[in-house]
Amino acid sequence: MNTSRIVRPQPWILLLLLLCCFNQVMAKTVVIKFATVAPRNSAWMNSMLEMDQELQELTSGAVRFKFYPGGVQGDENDVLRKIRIGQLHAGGFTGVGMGAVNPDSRILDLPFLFENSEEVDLITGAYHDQFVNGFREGGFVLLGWTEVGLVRFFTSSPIQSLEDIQKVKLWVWQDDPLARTFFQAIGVAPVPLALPDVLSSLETGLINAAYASPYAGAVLQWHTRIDNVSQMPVANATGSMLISESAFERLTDEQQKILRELCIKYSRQITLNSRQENRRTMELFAEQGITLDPFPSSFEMGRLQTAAADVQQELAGDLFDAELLQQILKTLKEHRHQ
Amino acid sequence: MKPLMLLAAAGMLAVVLSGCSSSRLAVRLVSPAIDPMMESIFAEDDLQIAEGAMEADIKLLGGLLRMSPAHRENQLRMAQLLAGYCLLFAEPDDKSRAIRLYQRSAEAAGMSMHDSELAQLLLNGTRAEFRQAMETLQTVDREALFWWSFATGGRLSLQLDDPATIIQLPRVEAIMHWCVAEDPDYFFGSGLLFLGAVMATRPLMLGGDLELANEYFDRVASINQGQLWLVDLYRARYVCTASWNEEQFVELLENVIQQEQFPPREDLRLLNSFARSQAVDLLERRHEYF
Repeated sequence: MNTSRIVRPQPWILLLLLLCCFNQVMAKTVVIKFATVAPRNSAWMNSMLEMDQELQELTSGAVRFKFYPGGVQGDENDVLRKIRIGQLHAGGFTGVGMGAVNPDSRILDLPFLFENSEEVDLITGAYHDQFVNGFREGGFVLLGWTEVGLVRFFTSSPIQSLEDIQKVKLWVWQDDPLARTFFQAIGVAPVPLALPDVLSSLETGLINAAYASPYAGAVLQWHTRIDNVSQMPVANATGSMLISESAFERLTDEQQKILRELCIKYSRQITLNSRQENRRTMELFAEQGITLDPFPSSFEMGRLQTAAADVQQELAGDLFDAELLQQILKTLKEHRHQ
Repeated sequence: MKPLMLLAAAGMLAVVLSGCSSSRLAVRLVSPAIDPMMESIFAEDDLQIAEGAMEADIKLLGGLLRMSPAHRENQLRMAQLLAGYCLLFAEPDDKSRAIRLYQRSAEAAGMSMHDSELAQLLLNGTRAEFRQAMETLQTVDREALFWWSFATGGRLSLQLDDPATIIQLPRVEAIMHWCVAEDPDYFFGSGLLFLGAVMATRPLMLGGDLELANEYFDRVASINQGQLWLVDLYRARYVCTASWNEEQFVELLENVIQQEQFPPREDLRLLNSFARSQAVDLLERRHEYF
């Protein structure tokens, strides 16, 4: 009897086995292409790199991120378009990008809605499921909130009243209908410009006021062209990490769970870092001799808040869900009376 | 023992034997030899020899400065030596060490300025103080300001996660612009190299400008008659990574690596040798960028 035919594997079987193994290895590596405007070496990107390291460890290298930092993939609308055609899978977004996917998320950016960060946490926590569903309807999975921070006015003159705001030549982000509508409604004629043009426009005098979180304002170098920064927060600039539903579905249940947990952990870290950076930046502004405008009088604050509330109602139904706004306002009111 | 070390030892012995006034003599005796020694280091193509020589010379200069702390020229030489050493040998391997050494370099540069408070005002003064200081910058301090900006910019670029850095960087950039306006050719056009890196690393949405970065790099290439490989390294590292141009990234780095001979200019040899070693390293790490 010839036993060699039984024990010796045929070459084509070896080849098949090899191909199967190769396919398995290839199938195991899922790369999530993630775009953000955050620059390399920033605290934001450092946290993301740390998260990627942990993701690779927990999935045994089966899932990893590939980052496109510094806005190399374009602005938020470009990134959304690229995600929708599958060129990218995920990104870090601010209100403008989030609003294009889930219009209700713009509620979080409404002027004078929040008085402090605690209120932001309260609302993003209490209405998390509604926002998650909204992003799902837009074809995305919310991986975590990454707050940019409370937005302040950067101006050449003090802001202490509604009239002070009406007097300035205020920049408005050309891609942001919410801000434009709000400022027009309170009697300001804002100047729409692309973000990179703000610095030079502050220099030439085309505008003499802009708004951003303190840290973002410093990164954009606006502090070199203005004299005042308001302590009064105008709004909260929300941010988030979103991944396309199709990319998310490529992951196994276990991998989805790991990714979600990591994103919650690191997005919180990013948010807390961001708050610390904003506080520190305000201190540095003061050290540099920039005037930190005190809060306007309670009378003036009341006027601003009333004007803002009118605009909120005006925009409700058009830009976002009116009922959700009412619920959020009710929650905030109850919280403030506790 | 190197002749210079013998000279230094003789100088220091003179101090011990003859008291304090002789220390000035020793400094005067040794100091003129430092410039040719630094030229010799920059003509060295062996990175290990250059590293050791720079370390020894930092300590030698440190000794001279102990005898005569107000010796501005030696403070300036110290700033240059520390900044160069840091760029070439500390920054690629050890970020924390590089931050410390850049800080020491900036302090030495500050000490070599005619107004010893100037550096402090430029970095930490209020905006009004900074503006006033900028208006009073003098050509006589140009080299000190250059090395101060170079070292401070180097340190800040390693601390981009600190809000203080974000506030201070525009000031350093403004001073480097002043230095470049005064003398764009200074130290092989390094000021332009610095500004090109700043323009390329800043995201486009935040005012970065790759075209301008390329213009700066072109000017550096022209200043050095196309013989400084560092230009290709910087272009690959900053412009190609920012523009996602992997093909050009590889082409530029391979071009540096594959050169069989150094360009004729001897004074560029150390920088070219460094550029070649960094090109190899950067090419191996290309997956981090693309």
